[in-house]
Amino acid sequence: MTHLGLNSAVAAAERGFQIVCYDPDATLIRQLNADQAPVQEPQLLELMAKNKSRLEFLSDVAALKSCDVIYVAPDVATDDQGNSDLSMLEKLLSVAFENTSHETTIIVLSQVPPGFCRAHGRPGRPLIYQVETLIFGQAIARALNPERYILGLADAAAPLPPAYEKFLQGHGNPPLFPMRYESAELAKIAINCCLVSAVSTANTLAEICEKIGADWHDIIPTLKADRRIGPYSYLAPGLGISGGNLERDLNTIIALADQHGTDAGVVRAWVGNSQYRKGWPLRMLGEYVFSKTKDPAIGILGLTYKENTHSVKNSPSVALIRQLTPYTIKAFDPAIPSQPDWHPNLTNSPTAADAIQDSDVLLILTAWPEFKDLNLTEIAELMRGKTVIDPYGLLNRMQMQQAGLQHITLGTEPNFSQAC
Amino acid sequence: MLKHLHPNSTPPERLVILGASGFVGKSVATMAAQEKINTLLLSSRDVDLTAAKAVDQLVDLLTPQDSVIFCAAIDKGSSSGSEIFMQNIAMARHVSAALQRIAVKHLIYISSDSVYGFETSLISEKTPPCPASLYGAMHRAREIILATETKVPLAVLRLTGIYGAGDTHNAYGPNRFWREVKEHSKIILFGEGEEMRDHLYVADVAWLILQTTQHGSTGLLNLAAGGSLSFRQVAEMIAAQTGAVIQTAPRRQPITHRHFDITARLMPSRPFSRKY
Repeated sequence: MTHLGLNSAVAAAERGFQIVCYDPDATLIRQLNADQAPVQEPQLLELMAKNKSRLEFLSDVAALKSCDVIYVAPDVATDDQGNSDLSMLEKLLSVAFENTSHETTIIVLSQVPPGFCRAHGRPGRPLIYQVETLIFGQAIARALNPERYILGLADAAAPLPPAYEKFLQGHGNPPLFPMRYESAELAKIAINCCLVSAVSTANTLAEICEKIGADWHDIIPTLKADRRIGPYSYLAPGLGISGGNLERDLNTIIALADQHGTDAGVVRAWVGNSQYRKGWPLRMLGEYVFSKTKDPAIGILGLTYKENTHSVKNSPSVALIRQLTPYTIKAFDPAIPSQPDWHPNLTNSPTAADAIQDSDVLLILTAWPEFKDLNLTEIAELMRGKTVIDPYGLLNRMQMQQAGLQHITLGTEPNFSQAC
Repeated sequence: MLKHLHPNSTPPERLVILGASGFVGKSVATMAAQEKINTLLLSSRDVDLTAAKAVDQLVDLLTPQDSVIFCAAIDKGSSSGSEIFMQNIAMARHVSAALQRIAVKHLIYISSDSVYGFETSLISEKTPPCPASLYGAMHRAREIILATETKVPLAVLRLTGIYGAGDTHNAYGPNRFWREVKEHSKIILFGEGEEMRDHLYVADVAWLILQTTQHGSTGLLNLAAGGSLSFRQVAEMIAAQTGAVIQTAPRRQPITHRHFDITARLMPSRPFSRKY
């Protein structure tokens, strides 16, 4: 019952299915039965409450016997290099095999490297890999209305088990793409590689915009209007890839290429570009603040790696905080408090205004919607300095200038350079 | 990136500079004296590092409490041939042999950005070394010799082009431009002087090297300003101050650019990110 499992279960209940939610962690199950979710997602708590009669949270593995389809869906943890720890998935997969009948269809929903399902299947037991495309902050919406189902099968020509097919069709009847295990496992990674490719292209060109007087935000709509690129492409400039899943897939591709002697130079370049882009806030601080202000007080808004999530996995904000050891920081995030082990002089602010108060520089490092509504005149009055580093361009540039604030954002030149 | 043994500035018990009469060594020595750091200054007149007897001489001179800055090199610029290369390697071998017999507290090797090629224009500490000259290959070989043969905590500082009074070299760039102005009231650019380069003031170099000694830093750091200028921009700055004429000559080499990502210098701690 982690991020992936819980959101999938709640969405399926909303679609009218009766769901048994098993987790060996009894504390977590007690928490879920008390209507508390361990993760944050829009609609999650509301739909949990609405579908309470269809959701059964328990730690008793015997309950699995009654199920026709079992999803095994733990979040697969990754280390700093993007290496997966599959041990929990393997453990739960064994639990599923050993506590269900031979007719039960077992689905692996967790992200696995190519070859995993073929290696972990058991003779005579239906095992299917279903590609998940969870996006933090949109998990419920995407689980309710999937774009398509990519299905990895031991034999791509074999029919789907009827109960499983009915379950899939019950999610809005999306298109099904059955294929061999290995193709499905790689399809998931291919999707993420295409996303990273777009992100890396955007970040590379956005930085050039920052140097030559162009504005990347002028260019984005022209790309989205191009049919070969598309309206949903990931073209917003950012601070490198975060969250863990994309990093894991890039790591997997590099490892496969190294093992098989294929060229992964472009994937290594994406990784390098991401690491470089993560340093953008620090470079801006170096250029516009550290060189001009002694012992600047730093205010930070946003800690999570993106909006609408509680996750700080590879968060640019936390990475920056760890690099600012000599300075005093106040930080605010709407979802989570800052942690003392991140920094010796880090104060957890109860409000955005508290984090802004008396700061020499303000950084807005997560694109939470509520930060867009900050009053710029109040920011100018609260701050001691004038520099606002707003990578995602949440604040209005013209109004920033009118308020006398220096606005530094991704994809375009700073509005002026004499502040702070 | 560097890791720091001392979070706060801690002067070394004694600072030994190998190459103390060179451009960098002299500047570090001057700054160390201003900061009242106990120093032992050694130049080729004191110890000829190219000679085998240098090993015994160094063993006699060094103590386990010393921090050693190794900035001695024979530099003949682009004309450096294999003979100079071998002499420079011999110097590193002798220093390494001495340090295997007497493990000093800290070693700072002053390397060069010539260890990098021009395949990529944005250089960071993660850029793989790919020297295009014997001079660059020499510095890379010395880095490896010192890192693999000695057990002394090692910082490698790769310097970009440096400028300032007292430069003994005549490489294309600010120092040569000043010399040309002084002697001929003109500056000669190759092509239009389009090449972008990072230029670091020698006093800033000395300051950064001293910070490295005072924090017991180990690892790798590129020493660069973080903002590149074209040779024409540099020439125009000098011309604006002196009234010199800028002339051009046919280009001898293809246009190359070099910029530095100085994120690693901003990361580690206050002393490496502050200049007042």
